[in-house]
Amino acid sequence: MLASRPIRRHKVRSLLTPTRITAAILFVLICFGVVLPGSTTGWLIGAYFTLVLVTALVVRGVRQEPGNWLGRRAVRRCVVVLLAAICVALVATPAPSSPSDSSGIFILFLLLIVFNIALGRATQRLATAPDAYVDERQEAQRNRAHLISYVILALVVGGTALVADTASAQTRSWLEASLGGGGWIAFLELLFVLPAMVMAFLEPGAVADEVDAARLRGAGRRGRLAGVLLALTLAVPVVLSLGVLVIPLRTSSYTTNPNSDTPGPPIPASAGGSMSCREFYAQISVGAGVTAVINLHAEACWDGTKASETYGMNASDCLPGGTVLAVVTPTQCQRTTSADGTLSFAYRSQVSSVLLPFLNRDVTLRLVMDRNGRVEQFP
Amino acid sequence: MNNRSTSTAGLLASRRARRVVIGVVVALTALLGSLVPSSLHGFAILVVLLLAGLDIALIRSTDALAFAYRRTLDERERALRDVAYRRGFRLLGLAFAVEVLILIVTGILSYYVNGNAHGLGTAVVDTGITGRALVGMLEALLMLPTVVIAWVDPDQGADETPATPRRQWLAWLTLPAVAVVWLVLVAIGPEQAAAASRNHSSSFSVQGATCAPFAAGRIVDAEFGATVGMRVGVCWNGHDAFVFGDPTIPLPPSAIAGMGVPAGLDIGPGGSNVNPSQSDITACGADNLDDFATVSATDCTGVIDSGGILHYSVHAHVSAPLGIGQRNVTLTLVIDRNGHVLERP
Repeated sequence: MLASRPIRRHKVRSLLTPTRITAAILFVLICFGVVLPGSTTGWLIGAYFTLVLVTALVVRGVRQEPGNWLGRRAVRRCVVVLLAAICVALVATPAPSSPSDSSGIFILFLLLIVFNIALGRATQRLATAPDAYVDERQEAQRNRAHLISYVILALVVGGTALVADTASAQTRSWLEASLGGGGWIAFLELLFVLPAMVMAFLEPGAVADEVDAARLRGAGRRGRLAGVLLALTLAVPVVLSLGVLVIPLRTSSYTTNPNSDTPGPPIPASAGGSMSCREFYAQISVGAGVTAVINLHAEACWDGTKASETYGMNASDCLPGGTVLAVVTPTQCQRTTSADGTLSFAYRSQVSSVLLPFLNRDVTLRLVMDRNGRVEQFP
Repeated sequence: MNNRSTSTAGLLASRRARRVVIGVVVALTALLGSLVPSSLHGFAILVVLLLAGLDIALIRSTDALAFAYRRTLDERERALRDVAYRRGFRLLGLAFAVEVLILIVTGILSYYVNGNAHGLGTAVVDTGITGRALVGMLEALLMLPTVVIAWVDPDQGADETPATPRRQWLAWLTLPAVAVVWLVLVAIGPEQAAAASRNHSSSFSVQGATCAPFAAGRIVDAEFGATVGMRVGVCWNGHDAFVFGDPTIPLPPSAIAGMGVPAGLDIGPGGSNVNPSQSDITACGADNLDDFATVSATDCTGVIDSGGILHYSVHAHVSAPLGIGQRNVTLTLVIDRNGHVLERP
């Protein structure tokens, strides 16, 4: 009993590495940032982020030989250059002002995941491997890589922050926009991956040519799990984006008497042609996970000779109700009254996902009501 | 063994003493990186100088191992230095994550205790990263490897050779150098405009008028002095432009008439009863930052001329401790009765 204490303490200490604590704090912060707003969207993003994290942990634990191709220095250097280019692109990408602007960051983020996996395989994740798994030469390699990384990080982050923060209002504005956009992703990338990038770039031969047999043990089963999770992580956004095109539209609608809040059928115009009115509520939801909601809330009146709009059927009313990684582009927002007094309103829009903007779906919300208040089409 | 040694002759020779100093350095860095207290009232430079002094002591105690040329080190020193950089790199990530936590916690504290606007992204003026936070960040970037070396290096015996005394003495010149650089900056540093924050999107309305919020500022001495901020809600009705949300600036008769106030209602002097104080719209001095220099005598005035043009001005006096580098800062916003901005800070 007494003897187990130091072992337990040692285990706890080896679990609580600075990297793990940092990752845990950042995970909690990001989850609170996206989940706390309380929407389903927040939970979905939080769930996806958790999937990304679990995948990263599983992939990290898999030890596989880099193979001939990734073992080559030129290929490793290409991967590093591409990662650096993605980081620069992320820093240059300001905070999205609308969902349609976020596609760039999202695609860059996915590319970052892919190249990080390639880098991890090329370097055998030696930069972050526990001390017990590395020999003296490898220890020296990664220590040198950390020293160089530290200098690079200090110059890049410290230098950029100092210059941008003190130079002018424009540079401060850029800094604020960048940190609100892809800048923080690039910063986290440098914080967690820069030593591996330096190792991959500098080492002439294979970074880890003698892999410990113990590390390869069980690699097959864990590798398969990692492959499945990785495929899932990359496929989920694509599949959900395709869902915008194929998942049946979910439509809900009801009408109410403007003087009461209870839903009910339209009330016909009273005899003598006095005005009667109805309120119309409709909602069309497109997709799942990657979603767009299109709303209509309008009021129309009729007097036996003509139906007319009171509110909610104007150009300024054709707005998306809410989107998650989707874009709604109104293509038609038209209200007409025919010669026989029938009121027609059509709100037509194209819905596309942020990830696959070239594929879109037409969604039409229509209201047709005759001069006697009979609803011929809704929605 | 070469003559470079990680020993420290004197006070910081023991590991315990070095760890105490490290504790103080971490606490001071956290203070600079936090939002509590919301203002250091011009005395941040003293904290920076104290921090610089402790840094020099730590660098001396480690014989500047973290900054030494590789070829001047023996094998043991290289190994220690490399491990320090590796651990330092990992601790850097932890430091940034903890800094974010500190900002959130102290931001909440500052916002709810003093109604301070600079926490939690509520600032309306884009002042960038504050000077004190910038110093905290640079401190972490520069000093973490040295801190790791000082933390892990064991107690040194008296037989170990101290580093060259002359060079150690020279290191202390850094302190007056920092002070002089800052004084020069305060004395001749240029003023810079600060734009409205991207987060600033509050809107408000007044019956019979069109309104918009305006925010701007002026940064004195590039983050290492003070910032004078302006936050004002302006409305216009085709007859006058006027300030809303500050009862000390009277509303013009056209604005009161446009509000449709029932006859007989006591609207107070200058319409102050229908124009209550709303600090989220208009606030005088709420966006000032004075960590390295003090901002005093902040005065906000709004005058409407005969053409209905509003001239809104913020005047403030900025000076470093002991009255160094005193200057007056004025921000002026001029808007005509149709909402056209004729002059902005």
